[in-house]
Amino acid sequence: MPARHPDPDLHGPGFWAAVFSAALTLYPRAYRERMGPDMVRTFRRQLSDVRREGAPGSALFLLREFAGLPFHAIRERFRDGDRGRSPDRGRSGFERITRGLLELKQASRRLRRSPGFTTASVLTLALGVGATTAVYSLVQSTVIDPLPYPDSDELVWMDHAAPGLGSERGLSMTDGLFAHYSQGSTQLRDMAVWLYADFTLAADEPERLSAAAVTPSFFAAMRTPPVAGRAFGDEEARVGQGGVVISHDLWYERFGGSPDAIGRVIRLDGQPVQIRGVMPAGFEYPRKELDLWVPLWVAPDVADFGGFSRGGVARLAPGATPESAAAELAVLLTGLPARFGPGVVEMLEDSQLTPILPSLKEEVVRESEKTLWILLGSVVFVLLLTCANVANLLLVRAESRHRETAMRRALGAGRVELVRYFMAEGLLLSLLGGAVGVALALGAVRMLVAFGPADLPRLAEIGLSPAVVGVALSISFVTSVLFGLLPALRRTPSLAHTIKSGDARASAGPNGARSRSVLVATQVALAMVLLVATGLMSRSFVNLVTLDPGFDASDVLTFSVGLPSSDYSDRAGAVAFHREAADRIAALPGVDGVAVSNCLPMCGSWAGIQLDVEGRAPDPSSVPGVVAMRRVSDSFFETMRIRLLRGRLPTRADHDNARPLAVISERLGETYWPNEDPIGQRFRPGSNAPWFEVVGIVANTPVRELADDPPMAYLPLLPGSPIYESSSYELSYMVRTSVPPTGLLMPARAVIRDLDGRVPLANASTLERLVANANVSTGFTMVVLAVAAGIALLLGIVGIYGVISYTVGQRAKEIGIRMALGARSGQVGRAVVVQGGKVAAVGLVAGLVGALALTRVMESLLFGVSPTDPLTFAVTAAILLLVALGATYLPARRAARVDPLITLRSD
Amino acid sequence: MPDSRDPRGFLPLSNLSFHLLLALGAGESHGYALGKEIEDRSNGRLRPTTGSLYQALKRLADDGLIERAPDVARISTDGRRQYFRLTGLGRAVTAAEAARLHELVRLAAERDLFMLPAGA
Repeated sequence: MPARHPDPDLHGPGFWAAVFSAALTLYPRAYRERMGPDMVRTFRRQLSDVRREGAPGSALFLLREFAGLPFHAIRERFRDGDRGRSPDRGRSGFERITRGLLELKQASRRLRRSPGFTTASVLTLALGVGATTAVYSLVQSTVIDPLPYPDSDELVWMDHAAPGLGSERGLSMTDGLFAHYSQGSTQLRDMAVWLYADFTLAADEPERLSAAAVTPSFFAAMRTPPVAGRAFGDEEARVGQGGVVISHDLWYERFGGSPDAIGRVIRLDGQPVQIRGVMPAGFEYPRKELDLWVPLWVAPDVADFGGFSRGGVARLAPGATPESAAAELAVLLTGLPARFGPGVVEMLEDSQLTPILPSLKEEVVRESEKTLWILLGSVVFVLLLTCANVANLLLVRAESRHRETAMRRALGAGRVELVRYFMAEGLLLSLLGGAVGVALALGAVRMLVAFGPADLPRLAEIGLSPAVVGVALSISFVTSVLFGLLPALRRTPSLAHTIKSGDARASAGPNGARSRSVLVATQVALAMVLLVATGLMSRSFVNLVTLDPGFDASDVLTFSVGLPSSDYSDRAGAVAFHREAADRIAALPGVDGVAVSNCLPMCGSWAGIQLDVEGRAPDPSSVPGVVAMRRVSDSFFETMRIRLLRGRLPTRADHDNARPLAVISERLGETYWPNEDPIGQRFRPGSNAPWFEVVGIVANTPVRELADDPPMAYLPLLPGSPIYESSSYELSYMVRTSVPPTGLLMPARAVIRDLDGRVPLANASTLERLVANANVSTGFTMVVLAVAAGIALLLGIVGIYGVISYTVGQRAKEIGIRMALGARSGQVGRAVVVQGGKVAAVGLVAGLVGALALTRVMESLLFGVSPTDPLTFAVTAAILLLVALGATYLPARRAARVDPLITLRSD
Repeated sequence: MPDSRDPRGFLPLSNLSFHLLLALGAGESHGYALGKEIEDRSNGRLRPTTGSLYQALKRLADDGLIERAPDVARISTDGRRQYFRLTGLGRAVTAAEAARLHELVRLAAERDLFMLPAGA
């Protein structure tokens, strides 16, 4: 997939017009009232013009507009008081440029002379710009624009709610619905359905490939044709000659990206299949890491309604909305043809099946959207913090330069010269900060891509978009230029007054100190919110990591072995293979036990099913809980070290004799037999299934993710289990070892190869890694939040330190007098600490209130901790207060050591 | 009452101001249309930002070279806009600037320094 620049005007011209309108407050009121509304209108129309030129043009336009605005606004402000013409009037363009360059050169010299200030400002700006840009880029490609397909706004996900079954969504498509809908709907077009399948690719080193079987309409629905070759059509799919479309990765790995691959015949599960086309790189629908798309054919007159096991998408026809299309499908449902039989009609009535059509985007980002918005919120906090911090630094600098300003003015500098003088510094600072920030962002994006959870959509494609960089730079620019201009904006007292008052700082009134205290309190409050959020995420992460999963994940090698159905057409052969493989691996040195199951812990899927309990009449009014089912070998519980709570485990003899015995999780017992002893009870998973007797109860284990443990039933897997009917005979192996588990991989592979050279061993991993992966998402959120909170804390410390140490310097004379009058140094130091403490306390209280309000949105991301957890709040507040007091320590010590003689003599 | 100020006191005009006055010479117009016309006429070389466009308009208005056209019910897609038009002084200043430039062009021609661009 060629990298598409996401449209930078994500929020439409309305958003940018609002930003522009807000920026107009920089102008004098009179100007704004006269020209403002018109300027916004003009801006808006120009923006819609450039939008047609594409993303880079729009970004450039926005950059130009926002970079230019403060200059014009400030000129306007000075024109009011300063009727004098610009000193540049009459100068040629060349002269102006040279003068500008000279100004910049002098500014850079001044900045070099105060390296502390310069470094602090540049780094602060860089942190803000870098963090915001990186995380915004992440959110942009994964949430705002997750579908890299043309006109993806038209794509809807085919879903159904079943209020009769208590389910709000999640019943996707069946073959029968697909045939019926696609013939009848006028509001939807290019409807496609699919299911997943795995194939074994025959080669010297056979490989298990993951495939989606898709209807030929799929490629039209995605508007994504193969980059080489072509896709399969309806007629080819109908007669079973559709061939296969392969992924870009597979094309490179197996065929070196050669065009000759098109038309080659490969063997999938023993069947010869021709390669028809290659999908573009990065195309990963309907699932990540797909190797193949194979044809799925659903006849228009399909007789079997089928199960809800098909995923489905469609495009809205022109003029259609998801609502109108869903309404049309609901009408179509009432006319379902009679060929599907009375059972289907009954099912539809019982379940009250209702079509719902969320946008595909909504469906894709469902899981990660919230996390990412929260992360974005946290970096916006960081950006605010950096602005506050830079403003603070510049304010301090401005106050110390009062005398200089007055001197320049007395020597004949006009306002315009002064503005230019200070603006040059602001410009340099923002450019430097912006450049370092973009470099930081590039690094940060790489890290995010490398460590982000793999289930984020389009993770690998994340890059910095020019529009985002432009906006972040503009923010950095406006902050530093505006606050940098303060000294020029102040009403300057006359030179005589300044010199008479004798002290460069004398004119820094209480206003300056107060505005800086407010800024610092704001910083503390923002830092508090971020720290609380981090604390909550960390506690969730610790809870997850220390969660007892019910099994022992250490030293277990896992892999899967799938048998090609062409070579193992009967059950007996497949069973014999797995049985022999498990026994031989168990006999390898270093192996303590081998278990085989149709699903690993947290394998991501669970065949949910409701149980019929023997002797209990089905109660139509109550919706029984859904149960997850696992098929396991006799050695499963022992190998996984899942605790047996009561009863017994089925033995090998039970398995060999195909006795229908079941083990249930504690949760299942509580759900189905709340007031009875489950042991000895019989149930069946569906009305056509045989009865199983409960013989044992084991500890709960997670099914899809660590934080969930629904009721679970374990049924026997091998050898003669009556209802095990997976078409591909793919099973997962869990090998407990007494040596490092990965060391057993080669021997295990050799065992499988000895048994059948055409059978691959796939998905090798360890149970520990699977468990760790289940925590990745929480860990990722925690780390990003922690980085944001760390920056916030750091900036907060710098802010408090700066303000307090500045006030101490300013009050040196006063302190000197106090000490001369008998104040002890301890008292003086304490007074300084109390002053800092007050500012921090105000910030803390504001932060607490903010955190209480904001952490609620995190609730669904947390595990085992409430969003208002008092402990987290208390510890965070304590840490922040300590840190704040620590930041006042150095200035306090300085105050305590003030020598009254020296300070008083200096006057 | 006609403005008695000497039009030559406003010369030379900035490039953007002159363009704006020229554009208004065709009749009253509003900010967006003026920006568009200037951009089109200069083949995209002159592309004023919203800020600079309105700054120039405000100065011209402050100097009395242009004025707001009286409010008439105008049909437009995005609400009521400000229309500007040339004042008598504005016309005189534009003419004076054109004359000044013309004088320069004449001088250039005399010294064989004037050549129309190819294809013009």
